[in-house]
Amino acid sequence: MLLDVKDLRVQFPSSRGLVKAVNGLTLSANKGEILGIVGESGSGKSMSLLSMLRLVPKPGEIVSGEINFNGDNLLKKSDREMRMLRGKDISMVFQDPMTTLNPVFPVGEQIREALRIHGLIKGERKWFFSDRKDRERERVLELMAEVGIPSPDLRYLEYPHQFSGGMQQRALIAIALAGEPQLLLADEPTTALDVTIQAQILELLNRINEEHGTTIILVTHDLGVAAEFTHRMVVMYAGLVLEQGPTRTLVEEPAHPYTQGLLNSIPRIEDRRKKIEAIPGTVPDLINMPPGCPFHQRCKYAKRECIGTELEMIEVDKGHQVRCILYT
Amino acid sequence: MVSLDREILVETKGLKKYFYKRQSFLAKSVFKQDDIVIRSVDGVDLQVYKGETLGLVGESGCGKTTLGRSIIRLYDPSDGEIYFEGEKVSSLEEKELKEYRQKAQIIFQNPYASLNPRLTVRQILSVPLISRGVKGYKEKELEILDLLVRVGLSERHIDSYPHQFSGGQRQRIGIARALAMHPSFIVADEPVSSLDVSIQAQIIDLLEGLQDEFKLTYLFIAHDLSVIYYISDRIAVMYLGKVVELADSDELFSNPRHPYTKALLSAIPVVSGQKKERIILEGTVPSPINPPRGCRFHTRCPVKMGRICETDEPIWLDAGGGHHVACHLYA
Repeated sequence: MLLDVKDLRVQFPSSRGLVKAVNGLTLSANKGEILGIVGESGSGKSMSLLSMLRLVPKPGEIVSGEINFNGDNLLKKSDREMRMLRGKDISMVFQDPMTTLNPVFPVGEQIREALRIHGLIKGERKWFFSDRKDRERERVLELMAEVGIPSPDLRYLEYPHQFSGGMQQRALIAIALAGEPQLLLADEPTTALDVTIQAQILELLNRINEEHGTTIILVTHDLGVAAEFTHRMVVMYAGLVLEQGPTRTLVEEPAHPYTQGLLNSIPRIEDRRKKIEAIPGTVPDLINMPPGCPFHQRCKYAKRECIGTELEMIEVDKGHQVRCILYT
Repeated sequence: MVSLDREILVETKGLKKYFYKRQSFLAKSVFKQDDIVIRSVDGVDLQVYKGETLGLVGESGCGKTTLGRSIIRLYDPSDGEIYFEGEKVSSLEEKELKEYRQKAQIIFQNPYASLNPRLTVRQILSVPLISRGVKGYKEKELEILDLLVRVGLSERHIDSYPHQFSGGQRQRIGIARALAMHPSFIVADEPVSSLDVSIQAQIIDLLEGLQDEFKLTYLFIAHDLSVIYYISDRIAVMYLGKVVELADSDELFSNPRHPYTKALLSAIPVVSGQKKERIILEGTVPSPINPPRGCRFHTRCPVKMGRICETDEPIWLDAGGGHHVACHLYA
């Protein structure tokens, strides 16, 4: 097991009260797998990802829980140790490549920065100067070629605005890969992109997973993407995991009413006649969370017991767990 | 589904919309640079039948929004004609244009930007009512309440401001605003793309319900193919300012002809995990400033035939059964 998160809670103070963005998250990622985290906006999926790198923005903070990466609890590490870890052992690809890349530095230099900060490439002295920079540059060109940026030597000195959205996302992936991480966190890497470009990027991530054995955690709101590209899936709602299990099982035999609702609410290409069913209502307010199951207000199977009973994850099948009173 | 004798509600003939970026006097006189022309919509012939939903799909920058906005005359077309119920509307001015806009409405993409934050729902919905000539406080009030209920909001929302609503609710206000004009034609410009899946389904349901109730005709613009497929009777695929394929939804999805449509369809991730042959296109959409000569798709086309694709523009072929395609492969 590469990553093991236990009962993680992230809270943001606000003028109206505490916002419980992540409310007891427990999940694990095995070596070499692609794990998908699926949920609507406000379900806490991005915040869970950020907290794995301890990048939760102020004034939010991780109030309790454990994040074990290779057996070490990341929450016990010093800031300096965390800095050494980020971009080397764990790296992240963000949602919006246009705002993530720095507009005033050439793209190639930004990839080189990732190598330089961790001192990944050692140089040799030639006369009075080290050739480290040249070697790093070579490695950057390799990385750019690997992620599929055409003619890397010409594009090394180009600026982000000269790159298209897909190319920017590739550059970000190159930065993330620079440290040859064991764990790659991808936060909606294709949301800002068109379908044909999305297919290219997902293909690339898949190849990275297969060739380097990199574990990938992919956060997405698109069930199609999650169903096709992940091995296991975690469904989040209001800061809580409602269901997790192998992707195929979850898609074919979803156990939780929310997962079922989500699957019923997307139009299917394979079956047009199938009527879509909307889930009534909206995501609950994270400040005044209803006690008990967070989904009970929108659930068609809701019973009186759903209110007020805090449930644990229940194993319905091997590796398939669900948090719902229907299965107790 | 589409019979040939169906009544055409909206028709465009060779519709073009160019945007110009004017160069400075200095650049023109000394450096001999020409104005930059962005060919967003470059010759589109499209018919929308009465009562149908025509889906318009394409990647960002292909001109689908520009086409939608040109049709309801939010943009003045650079060239070509638009007909509405047989009347030419592409050159209407002022008063007649106002009349046309009563019949043709638009729902905008971004519900956060398309509602005035300083007006209450009552004020927002009053504007189209006044413009339609509804007089009297009581009538207006009743109609606003009726509209709110129609789109699934409640009467207590009437004095709220847009920021008090969620994205899905705002989109409902946008829909109510369009409905207030009693239109027969609505351009829905990506009405669901900024919403979560569960909310998306609610809005699609609402739009379909309203279509049945008011006999509306939709031009539904989206980049999400599964949504387009679900809601549309016919689908037009756009690429770089041109429509490259047009067919009944089922026909298009079961038997796509154009290589671009094929690639687009294969790129959609589906939930049902059937592994299919995925056509991955190289590169990105070229710039509409200097679109490729010949077939615009030839720079990325996996089945390019040769020189003819680079030199000749493919003609709009009828492949039978209302299926049209613009590709040299079928010439």
